[in-house]
Amino acid sequence: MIHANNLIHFYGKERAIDGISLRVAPGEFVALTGESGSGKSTLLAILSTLLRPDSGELRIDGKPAKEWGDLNRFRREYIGFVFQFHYLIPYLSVAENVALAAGRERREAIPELLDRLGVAEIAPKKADEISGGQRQRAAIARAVANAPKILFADEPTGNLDSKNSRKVFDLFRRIAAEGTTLVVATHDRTLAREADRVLEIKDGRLV
Amino acid sequence: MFTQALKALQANRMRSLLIFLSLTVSVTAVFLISAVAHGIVSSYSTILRSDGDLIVTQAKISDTFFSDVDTALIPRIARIPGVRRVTAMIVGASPAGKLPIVAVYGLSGERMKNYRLLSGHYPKRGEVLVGRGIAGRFGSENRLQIGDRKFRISGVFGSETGFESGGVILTLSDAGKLFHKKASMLFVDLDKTVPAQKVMEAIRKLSDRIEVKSTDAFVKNYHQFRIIETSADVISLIALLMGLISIASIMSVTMLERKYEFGILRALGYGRGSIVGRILTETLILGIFSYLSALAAALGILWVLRHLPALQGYVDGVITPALAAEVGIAALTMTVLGAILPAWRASGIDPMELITRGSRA
Repeated sequence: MIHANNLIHFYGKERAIDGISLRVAPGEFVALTGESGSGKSTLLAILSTLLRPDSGELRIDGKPAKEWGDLNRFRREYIGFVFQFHYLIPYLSVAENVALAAGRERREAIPELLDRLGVAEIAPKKADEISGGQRQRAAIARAVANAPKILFADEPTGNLDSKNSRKVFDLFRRIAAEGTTLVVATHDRTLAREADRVLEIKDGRLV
Repeated sequence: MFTQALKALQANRMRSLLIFLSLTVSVTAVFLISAVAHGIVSSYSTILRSDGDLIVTQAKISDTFFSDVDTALIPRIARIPGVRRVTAMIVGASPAGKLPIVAVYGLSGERMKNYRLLSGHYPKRGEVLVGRGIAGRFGSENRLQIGDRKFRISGVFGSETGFESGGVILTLSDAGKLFHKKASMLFVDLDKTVPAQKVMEAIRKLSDRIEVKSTDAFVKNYHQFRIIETSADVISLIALLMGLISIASIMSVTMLERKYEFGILRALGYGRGSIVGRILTETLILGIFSYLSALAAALGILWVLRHLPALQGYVDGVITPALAAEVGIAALTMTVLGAILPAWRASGIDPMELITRGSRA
């Protein structure tokens, strides 16, 4: 599903990603671990098309960047992203936040999706009416609302306690089991072991 | 999108209120300035158009107030083939009783009948007929000092035109003594048997000190109307620009506050146009509400101005459907222009900022 070859990216003169190559198979659940500043968030941003690498090749579903066409449409079709902060739009309910990501043809399936992800009871509530763990699970529901082929998550449990972190990873397992490819960056090595494969990154290189 | 826009406006109450207020104040100002200017032009035009196909004034004068036409021309003009009737009028303004300024109309006999008599009789020499708009201001007095002369009040007349309703009429000769002239202008009615152009040429031949125009041409080209309308347009434009700047600055701050909201939309695959569309929907809703509020406020203020005794009905603003439509288009254009740049900048947020923010958290 993801094929990266010799990715390099600089921030100024600093080489943040230093020749990373990797493959992620369809439906695989991969965890990226590493210390703070190791480059895992930058790698995740490159793999999820949010950041263009300075050099190297990235193929998603066999397509190189030049075949992605309109990037917004490509993201809607292929990519879901969960950030460390939930970024739920505060004046909308959870269901409305999820509907933002769902295409028109998927709107009817939202209640079933929320039910499947165990967040149906908070659907009518707004972000400030639910707990941190619920917010992050709502953000995950939003990220998968359009049935993306790949779900990326950057430190999704960074602001959660261990109990809620566990719930979030349980959710990831369920999503992966349904066939979605998952790449999750986390500094929590215990949680990372929940993934099918763990990749460690240090100083911009896979180790 | 409409429901979400309403929710966004509700969620950002303070900035919505500020935009609403700045828009409403600007648009109300535009309505009042334009309506009052339109009212002045419309009132005086109505007086000029009320009688006569042609208007004769003194040549090379900037304002009818300064015009002096010899009334000896009246019988000579009346003899020209195609002319049905010739009347004269003096237009002036003077203190009257306790009122600092009152419009004074001196009229030749037949022209007086154009004014609807509500009580008393049409004025004879030494008398004035008082407009309904100021009739109550003189109490039970039956004499009125105008300039340096005293007149007997012969009755009250009614008129839909503010300038007339707030003024007095008297005979042409009495007005001539007050303002030291024969007539400000002559009105010529045609019987349509002879082309107007031919009659105008014949009148011009009578004196080189007069100017003849069709009433329509006179009203359209009257210099004072152009000055009033241009001034109103310039002041309206300034009011609109101030509103536009207010919206743009409030929107800039708001967009900065909401940048992560737009960042997540970008990460979800929303294009810039789609995000700009969402933001413009919000501001257009505010624009429409502000426009309607401004229209209601302007109508209310104009009503108060019209009925304020101190203004004697002279400030008679008119909001015509055309003016309402023009201001509506201007207001919505201003709303879009004020919002579009901040919206465009907000829509360009790089979703990477969401990751960077997370890393800092």
